[in-house]
Amino acid sequence: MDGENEMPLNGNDINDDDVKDEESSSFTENCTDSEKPNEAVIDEEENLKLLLITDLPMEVIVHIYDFLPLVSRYNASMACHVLYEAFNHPKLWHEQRLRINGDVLNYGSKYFGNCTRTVPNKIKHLVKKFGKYFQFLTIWVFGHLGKLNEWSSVLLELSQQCRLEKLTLVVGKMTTESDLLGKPPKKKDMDILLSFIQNAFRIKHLDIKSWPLFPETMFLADQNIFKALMKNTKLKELEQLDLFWPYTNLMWSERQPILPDSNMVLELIQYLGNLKKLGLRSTMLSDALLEALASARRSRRISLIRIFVTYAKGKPEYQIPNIKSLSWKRLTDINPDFHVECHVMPRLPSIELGNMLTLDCPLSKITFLQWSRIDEQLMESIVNKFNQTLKTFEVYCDFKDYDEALIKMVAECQFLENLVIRSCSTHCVNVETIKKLAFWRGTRWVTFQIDEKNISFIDKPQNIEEDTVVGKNENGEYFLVGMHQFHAEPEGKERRMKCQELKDSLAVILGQKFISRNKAIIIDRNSTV
Amino acid sequence: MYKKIVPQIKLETYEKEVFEIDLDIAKKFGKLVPVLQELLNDDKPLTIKTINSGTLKKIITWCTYHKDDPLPPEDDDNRMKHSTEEVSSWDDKFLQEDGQAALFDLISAAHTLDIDGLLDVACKVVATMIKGKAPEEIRKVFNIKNDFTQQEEDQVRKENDWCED
Repeated sequence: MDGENEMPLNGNDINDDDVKDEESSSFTENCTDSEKPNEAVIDEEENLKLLLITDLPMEVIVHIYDFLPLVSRYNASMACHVLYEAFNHPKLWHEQRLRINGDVLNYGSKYFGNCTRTVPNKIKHLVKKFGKYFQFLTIWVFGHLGKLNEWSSVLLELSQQCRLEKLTLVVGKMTTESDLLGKPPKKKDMDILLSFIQNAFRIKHLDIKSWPLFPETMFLADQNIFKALMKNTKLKELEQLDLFWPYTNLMWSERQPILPDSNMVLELIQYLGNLKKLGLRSTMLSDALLEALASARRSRRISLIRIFVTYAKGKPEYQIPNIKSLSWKRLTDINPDFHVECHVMPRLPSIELGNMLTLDCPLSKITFLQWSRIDEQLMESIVNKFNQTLKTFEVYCDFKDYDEALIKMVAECQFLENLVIRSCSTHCVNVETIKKLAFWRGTRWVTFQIDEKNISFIDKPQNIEEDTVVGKNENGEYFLVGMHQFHAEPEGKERRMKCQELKDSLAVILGQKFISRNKAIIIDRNSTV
Repeated sequence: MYKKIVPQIKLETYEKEVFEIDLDIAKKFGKLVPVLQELLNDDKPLTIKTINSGTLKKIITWCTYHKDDPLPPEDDDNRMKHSTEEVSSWDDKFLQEDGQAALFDLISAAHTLDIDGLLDVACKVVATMIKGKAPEEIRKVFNIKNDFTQQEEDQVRKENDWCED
């Protein structure tokens, strides 16, 4: 064999570049491959050898460690040099979540405010040794902030040495009015947490999910997180800012949390001239804010605003802002790719939503969460206004027989490519409607999800509530029965069969790519793979 | 029954065996997908010499079984949850049935082909082999030699024994 003097391909070297090299060589030299014994020999050696864990690329060994608790990582690191090297690999420590147990009751409560908070020894060492590698950090204070005690020195040290790219702050629950009856958190504890903002020098994404907003802390310039942010000139480079977006999977949020007022947010946005993406509550939105974002003085153009709708009837601070159509238009004028996503949590009058999402708003996604409300008029107005921009429509709330509105939406919104109906109502979309929707867009659907329980297999007559028919029970007595019962949905085995039939026909229409999980007919095709 | 014609891509292994893979399945090949799509109309196979036929067969089986899996969640919270999900019994058996060397071959190939799902689940399986074991046991399980001198070993222990708390 002539290839022995060649270096055998070591497992550690199989990285992207190698793959690319091989591809390019095989593209061009495909036909001559058989005449090149050298390469074959190299690979033969590689293949003859039984691979050991230490032959894997370092990246992969680090990934194995990702699934191990600290003590197992340590034990593995003691086995040999390669595994020790993986233990010290910076990437292993990039993503960290510090969980700090908070107080059960309100801030500064008499009984719980003084509970000692010790820091596990492990965390102390972890921060000391690997804190400099932390890049994506979540500081999560469960319950209420209270006193940080022993955590103070650990957090302070960390804030001075970490080089964060993304910081997520979940400090306490979202503050509500009842919390204000308790004492605000102590200045020295706020100072510690704020040191992450003060010392930040390369954060690109700041995600403030919750933060104690007491009037006392907001009035003092050195306690106010937004003021602190504006004092650090390095943070001008921030590209993404999320303000008070909920952090649970269900996107649940306190109905009336205390939020920074729109003027504060405006000032902040004016300062952060590099923002590309902004997530905020609807109450923070204003014409002035959009105008500031459209300002020519900004160094970067905004490409996405995500709005989480917060509303409470009769409360002036939780009203939906009226936004001028022109304000939206200015933003699309300077950046044609600019778009808006909206999550609706509370039930609110349709008209209110329409006053914020006005005609020229480039709405690309709207999600009605479980506790919200949607009706035909609202759907129709969404279609009328946003048929040129809407790409994603998601419903998790009550949904009635809005088949016609749904059909109209798909017919008129030509860019709609993600449809999710996972409503809590049962039998709310007719099977024929589903087939029709699937057929119209066919393989162009990126996401097509409909919960099985939402499917209705029968034709419902109009005005179902009022209609009754005469039925006969087993004793031969006549009685009145609602149309709902008369036209009963198939159940059990029959229903499962019908669902399967539908899935089979959808699979063909949508191109053999569907997922069937959690009792949903789900067709997912993610274009970003 | 009606059978849909699915576009296929061709991969050639180390043994010069050519495999035809449905594009549907090859979509799992992360970063390679654009490359494969370009090759779709090409008759020539893509040669990946670091992967042998046995391993590629396993990979195709895995990808076919997991064809309909949902895509990994994008947001951080869900991703965290996803990463702690347990390995299914099918996966566990499938990955371990051919022994350790075959498993590492598979991992190495999954890394080359950028199949995140397979890489994750296979790494989890290896992680379970490590979990709860002392260094000496780990060496035994993976057939690795202790290449530390006594001095180095003491040093490493001293350096990181805080992990044991």
